[in-house]
Formats: sequence, structure tokens, C-alpha cells
Amino acid sequence: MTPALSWYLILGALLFSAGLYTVLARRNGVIALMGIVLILNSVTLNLVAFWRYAESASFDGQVFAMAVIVITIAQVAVGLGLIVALWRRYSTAVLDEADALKE
Amino acid sequence: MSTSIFDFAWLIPLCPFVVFGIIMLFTPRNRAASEQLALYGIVVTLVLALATFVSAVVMVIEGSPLPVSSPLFTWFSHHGQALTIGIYLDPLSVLMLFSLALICLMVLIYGQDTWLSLRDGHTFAIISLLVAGVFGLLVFDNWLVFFFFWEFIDVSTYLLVVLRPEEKRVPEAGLQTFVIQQVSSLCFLLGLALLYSHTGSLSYSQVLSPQALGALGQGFMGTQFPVAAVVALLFLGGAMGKSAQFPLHVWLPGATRAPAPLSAIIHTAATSAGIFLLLRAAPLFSAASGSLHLGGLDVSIVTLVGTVTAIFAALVSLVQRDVLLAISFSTISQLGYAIAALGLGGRVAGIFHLTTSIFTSALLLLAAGSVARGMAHGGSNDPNDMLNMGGLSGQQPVTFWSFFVGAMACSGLPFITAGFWSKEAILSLAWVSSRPAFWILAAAAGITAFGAVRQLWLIFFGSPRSDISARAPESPTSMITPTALLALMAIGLSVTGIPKELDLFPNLIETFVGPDSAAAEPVIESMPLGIAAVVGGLILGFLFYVWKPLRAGEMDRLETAMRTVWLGWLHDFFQRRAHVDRAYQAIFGRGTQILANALRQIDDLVDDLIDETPWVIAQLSQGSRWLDDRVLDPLAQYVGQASRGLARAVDVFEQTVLIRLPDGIRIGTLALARAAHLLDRRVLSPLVDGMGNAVKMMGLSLRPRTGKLQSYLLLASLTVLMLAAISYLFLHT
Amino acid sequence: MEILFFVLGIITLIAALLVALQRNVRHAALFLAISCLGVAGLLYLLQAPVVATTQLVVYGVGIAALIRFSPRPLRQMTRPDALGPAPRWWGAALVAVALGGILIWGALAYPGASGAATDAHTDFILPLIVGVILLPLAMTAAVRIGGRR
Repeated sequence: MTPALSWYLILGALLFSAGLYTVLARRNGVIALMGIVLILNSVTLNLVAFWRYAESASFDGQVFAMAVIVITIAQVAVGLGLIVALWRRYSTAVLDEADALKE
Repeated sequence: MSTSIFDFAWLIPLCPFVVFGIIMLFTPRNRAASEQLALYGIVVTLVLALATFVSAVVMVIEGSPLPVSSPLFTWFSHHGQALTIGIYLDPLSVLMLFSLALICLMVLIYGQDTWLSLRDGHTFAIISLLVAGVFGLLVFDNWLVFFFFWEFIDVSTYLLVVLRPEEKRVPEAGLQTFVIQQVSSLCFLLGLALLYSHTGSLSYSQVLSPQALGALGQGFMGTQFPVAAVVALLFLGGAMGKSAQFPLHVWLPGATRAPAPLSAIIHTAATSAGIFLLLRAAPLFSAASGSLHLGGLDVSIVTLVGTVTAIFAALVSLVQRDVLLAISFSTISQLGYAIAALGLGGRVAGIFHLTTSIFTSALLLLAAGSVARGMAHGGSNDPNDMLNMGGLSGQQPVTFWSFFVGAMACSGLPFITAGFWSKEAILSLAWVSSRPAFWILAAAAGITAFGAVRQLWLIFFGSPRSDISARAPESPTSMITPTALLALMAIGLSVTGIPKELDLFPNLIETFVGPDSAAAEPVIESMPLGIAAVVGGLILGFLFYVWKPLRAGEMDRLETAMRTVWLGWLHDFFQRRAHVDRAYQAIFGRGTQILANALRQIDDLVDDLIDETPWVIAQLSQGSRWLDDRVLDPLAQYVGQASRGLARAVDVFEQTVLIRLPDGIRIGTLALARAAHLLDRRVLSPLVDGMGNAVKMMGLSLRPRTGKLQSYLLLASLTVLMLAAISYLFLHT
Repeated sequence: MEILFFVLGIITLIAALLVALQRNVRHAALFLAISCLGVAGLLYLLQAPVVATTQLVVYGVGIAALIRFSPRPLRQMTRPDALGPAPRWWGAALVAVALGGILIWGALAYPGASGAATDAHTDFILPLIVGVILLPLAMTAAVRIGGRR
């Protein structure tokens, strides 16, 4: 039996959870960025899964997914630049220590 | 025919690409190993390229025609649409394979001395990538793959320009290279997108077929302007950035900051990619030719771009002190010539001139590199400054002769140099099609000749103007041999393109590449004028620089002359490259800053608005407190008073009426009154006060105050969760 | 064929969980790359070879290479992280599980979800254009934000 759509969606949901946890609960900024990548991976997976099971004649789902991938890598580049700037300013990559907004 | 060497043409770009991957993954810090790998990879490529060329020539001699095209593989297919990639070799690409292979070979040999000064293996990977990109453009049959390799060239030229970021002016040069390459790539890509959406395919044969060109003749988005013209303009934009045409030329002089062999490859191979693009898309340009003419002018915008570049760069080159910049600008001028040729419909002339000019430019750059090396060894801080040189012909004889040949070829010394015949071809085209272009191009040729003599004499003749140049040694054999070989090639190429009309020698180029489709027959009558222009330039050069050689400490004689006739400002204008760099900085640099400041103002405004929300909430809570104080309390008091009044009334009632009732009833009524008191004091007032306080507390604690980003994120996720739960409830009940 | 799905899925998932839990930043990067490769494999299974190859190249090779060949500040930042998760980890876990659960419930409740049948005639050039515009901007921004030496 071929995998059903819901299997892919569930896998995507689980990846999403793992990514969300990583973003919220990990202290190192670089790892938090990885969490975002995981979340966007799950988005890609969902997009392509829906496209495949919808049997449309055009490439819409794939195009959207590729745009997501491209935007993700751009975001990772900028995010890493931010972390480097953080590092230069505060000598740390731990996000919790960048609390200058604290009241 | 069974498999021939052409089926392996895909190996030509693949080898250096694989080498790139290997070096980056395994030996990035090992200079020696990377050098070996890169050398092997590129040598394989060059051998294959030359072999392909030889086979092609043999094929043509035997009579079977090029182009050769063989499909390789299908990349993907979906519901009937498929992308197939294959090999496509025609005389143009084979000729370019040959030229670039020879030049790369010479550069490789030349570079032995330079490679020693490199620190790690990254550079060799990048060189391999550049070679892969340049050769990959030539062998495939699909525009998408073309773009793919085009981007390789972009990336690698940028990386090569910023090879030594600590040297002066390298970061700006890198930025210019990067931005201009990206802009031109964007133009190219938009053109491709347009092409694809109107023809449904990206392979050469399908896109350039008559039906496809007809489809492209429709108006663009409802206007009269045909799509083919829009695509052609976009492609022109791409080619302008890549081949350093005015005004997108500013990056190429910056590329001279890279070491000499790398700079040579960039000036020849990378820039020829742009012209190759125009040549490949030639049917497109002819289909659109009617719309490419500006306004009332009789000339296509392509010719305009090429001509303006040719004269502008020639003028700038004339007054530079730095020999590398002078050569760089003369290269730009030659590229402008080639593009002007294409605009005038002269495909053969353009190909011929491109071929001769890349050999000439490579020759001059390598020779100049050799001179600079000599100066550096003699102890100079600025080894490229021509005013410090002089008399080097004695000390660097081989370099001198090679430079001499190159300078003569570049200026087009009549009859014996390749540059002459190719320029003549272009000038005769212009004579027929557009006289103004002819005069401008001829003037540019004269100026280039003037500049060539100037460079030659400043560097090599007279007595040394500084003791640095007195000490400059000749460069090692590894450097002077390829330079000399290139000089021989420059002379040898001249016999390949003599126009048929002279009946001296068959025009090999034209035979190989195929005659121009339009019946634009080159004519001979313009030749005397062309010769006159070149000779005039040479004579000017002689008068200014040869008659009395420049002495030490003396200012450049042209500069002196111009200042005397109050044209000094003109001289400075061109010496500073017409301030084009500064204009870009002003427009785009300042412009972006202004935009960023404006956006920051908006952002600050939003921040302030957000900061006001606690105030709003505080007002709200004060409002509710007011409500409590002014309305509810008195209300409660009234209730209390009313209940007191009621109690009194009951008292009165009791005393006047009910005193005769049993005590129980009286006590009950009293209890009611007390309950009202109690309600007021213990329940209503605290309730109202409590509400006021609660709202105030809410206002204070609405934002988390830790300052930690992830806490905010957590709160946001919780909110999303709650919203999801709430919307579920709403949807399901 | 479903065995392939399970294998790839489990690899992807375990790698993702390891990213979430692993303390050593370099190891986490490795696991991220593995997870991305897993997703790429799954995309191949879904018969979307172009997206899968892009995913493979961009993420699997790109991010791994980025971390591997990173400049010095990045290398210093990615030294093994002695700190564990923050004190709020339980809240994060709660939220993550809850939201994931909602998504799973949604997946199960609407099994044959039909995609939005748009009629737009798009093609692959579009993300390429987005990439050509966006990526240089992002790289320039990253360089500017990170600061030059």
C-alpha cells in the first residue's frame, strides 16, 4: 500500500513540533536557526505532499515549495549574520543573554 | 554516425567542475595538492577542447556540416512536459573552444610563478570553477544550462577579484563586480523567463526556430513592442554587464587588482561570455531588429552601446598612468567594437574581432604583468605606474617584443596584424550601414593607436626614469614563453580573416563560420580611411612621446599639452574614468541609505505607537476607576442610602404601623436592612474597586518583561494555540 | 514502496529530534543536514525530483558546507554548548506538542484534502527569479550585518 496523504502530513506535523521546540527552548542562537529550518522543511513536505495527492496538471505545489526553500536559505543567511553581529557585540551566541530589551 | 568525440563534449566543463568539488571538499588548505589537481583538470579540459576543434575542422573540410547536436539526457518530465539537455556544437562554439583553450593554456604556464604566492587551495578551486563555467557555456544546447554556467562565471569572477581583500580598493572592486554581475544576470534571467513563457521551451533549436520567432513577434503585454525585442533588450543588458559595456563597465578595471594570470582570464574568458550570448541569440536580434532602433536614428541600440563604449574606453585608456588600467580599458574598447559589429549585422566580423581581441588582450595583460613583476622586484611600491618606467626594452627584451606585437595588434597596424583586418571588417560594415558610427569607430581606432604608442614608449624606451626601472629584471621563462607564444598567435591569426575581395588568401574565418545571412558585403573603399585613422594615431603618438622621450620626473606630455590649451579639466575627467564609479556610489549608495532612513522613521513610529499601548491601558483602567469612583460608588452609596432610606422607612413603618406586629416581623425587616448595608459594604464596593484594580494590573502585566526573545516567542505560540482552540470551538458548535 | 517511506521518515524524524535535543552544536548541524537529506528523499518519493534536488543541494550540501567552512566567529560560536535547554523548556515542549497535536488531528480529520486547484500558468523560472533577486540581497545583508573585519 502506498503511503497515504495523511502519513506525510503527520510526519510534517512531527517535524514541525520538533522544530518549534528547538526554536523556543534551545539557548544557542545557531541551534534556534536550525529549528526554523526544520519548521520550513515540514512546510515544504506538506506543500509537495498536497500537490502530489491533488493530481493537478501544473507544477504549482513544486513551484511554491521551491520558493519556500529559496526564501529559507536567504533567511538562514541573514539570521547567521545577525548571530555573528550578536556575537561581536555581546561575545555570546546564547540568545537569553541578549536581553537589552528587558524592563 | 556512431559516437564521435563530440558526444564527449560534456566532459569539457565537467572535469574542472569535479575538480572544484574535490578541492573544496578535501584539500582546501593544501596548496600544492590543489594546484596539481587543478592543473590536471584544466589540462584535460584543454586537450578535449582542442581535440574537439580539430575534429570539427576535419569535418568541415570533409564536407559534412556542423552544427552537431546530440541529446544527452532528460532531466525531468511531468505530465508531458520534459526538459532535455544535449550537446550543441557549431562553428562558433568550436572556434571559441579553440581560442579560450589556447589562452587558458598560456595563462596556466604563465601562472607558475604566481601560484607560488598563493596561500591555500581555495583559489585553484575557484579557477577550476571559472574554467568550467566558461567552457560549459559553449557546449550545451539549452538556455537554462547556459544560465547555470553563466552563474558559475559570476561567482568565480567575484571570488577571484576579492582574492586579496587586504589590498587597497579591492573591497569596492569586489562589490562593483558582484552587484553589476547580479544585475546583468537578473536581466538575462528575466529575458529567459519571457522567452520560456512565450515559446514553452528553452532549447536553442526550438526557441530559435521560425515558428517560435513568429510567436515572439506579438506585442508585449498589449503594446506594439514585440516580445522578441523585449527579450533582446534584456539579453543585451545581460551581455553589457558581463562584457563590461558602458555604463556597466566599472567592474572590469577593478578586476586588474587580481594577480596577472587571473586578471587575464577574467578579461578574456569571462567577458567573451557576454558577446557569446549575443551571438547565440542572433536570430532573436534579427527578428526584433526593426524595434531595436532608437527614435529617429538609423542604428540599432546594440550598435549604439558598442560604439559609445569603444570611444569612451579608448579615451579613458589614453590618459591612465597605471598600465593595467590602460590595458583594461582598451580591452573594454575592443569588446565595444565587437558588439558594435553585431549591431551592424556583421556576425562574421564580430566573431573575428572577438577572437583577435581576446588574444590581444591576454597578450597585453600577461606582458604588463611581466613588466609589473620586474618593477616590483626592482623595489617599486606602485609597480604599475608608467611614469616610473622607461628604458625597459633593454632589460626585458622578450617582454618588450611581446608587448610590442600586442600593442600593434591592438591598434591595428595595417596589413600584418590580426587586429587590423578585424577592425577593417567592422569599419567597412559601418561605412555601409551608418556613417556616424564609422567616424566614431575610426576615431576610436586612432585614439587606441595613439594610446598604444604612448604605453610602448613610456614603458620601454628612453632612459629609465627611476632607478627602480633601471634594476627591473626580465621575468622567468615560465612567464615570458607563453607571452611570446601569444604574440606569435596574434600575428598568425591575421591571415585567417582577410576579406575575400582582396583575393589574397581565403577568408578562413568566414568559410568556417559561414557567411552572414544578410547580403552585407564588406567593401574596400573604407579601407584607406581606416588605415589613415590608425596611422594618424601612430603619428600622434610619435610626436608626443617618441620624438623627445619623456625624462624622469616629467609629467605625462599629453597631460602637459592638454593643460596648456586649458583642456586640463578634460584630461582629469577621463583620467578619473569619467566619475562613473562615483556616480554609482552617489545614486545607489546614498539612495539606499536615504530609503533605509525613511523606513527606519516608519519603524520608529510603529515602535512609539506600541509603546503608547500601556498608556492606553492605563487610561482605560483609570477610566474604569473613575467609573468606579464617580458612578458606581455613588450608585452603591445611593443603593446604600436608598437601602438606608428603605430601612428608615421600614423603621417608621414599624414604629407607626408595625409596632403592633409581632417582634419576629420587625426583626426580619431589620435584618433585611442590615443585609443591604452588608451587601453594599462588603460586596459591591470591593467588587467595583477590584474591577478597577484588575484592569490596572492587566495593563501592567500584559507584556512579558524578561527581554528574552524566546519568551516572547513562547507567548506568541501559546496565543496561537489558544486561538486555534477557540476557532475550533467556534467551528464545531 | 511504503517501507521506503517509513525508513526515510524515521531517519528524518529521529534526526530532527536529535537536533532539538543535542547539545553539541556541530553534531546538531550534522543531524540537521541528515534531516534535510531525509526530506529530500521523501520528496523524491513524492515524485517531485526538481524540488528534491533543490532541497538536496541547497540544504543538505549548502548548510553542511556553511557550517563546515564557516569563518572564525561562526566556528567559535559552534563550540560544544555546555548549557542545556532553557528553564522554559517544559513550556516550549507543551506548546510544541499541543500545536503538533492539532496539526495531526487536522491531518487525520481531513484525509483526502484536495489542493487548491489554481489555474495559474507558472513555471520553474519563478523561484529562480526570486532566488536571483533575494539571495544576493540576503548575502549582502548578512555580510553587512555581520560586519567586515
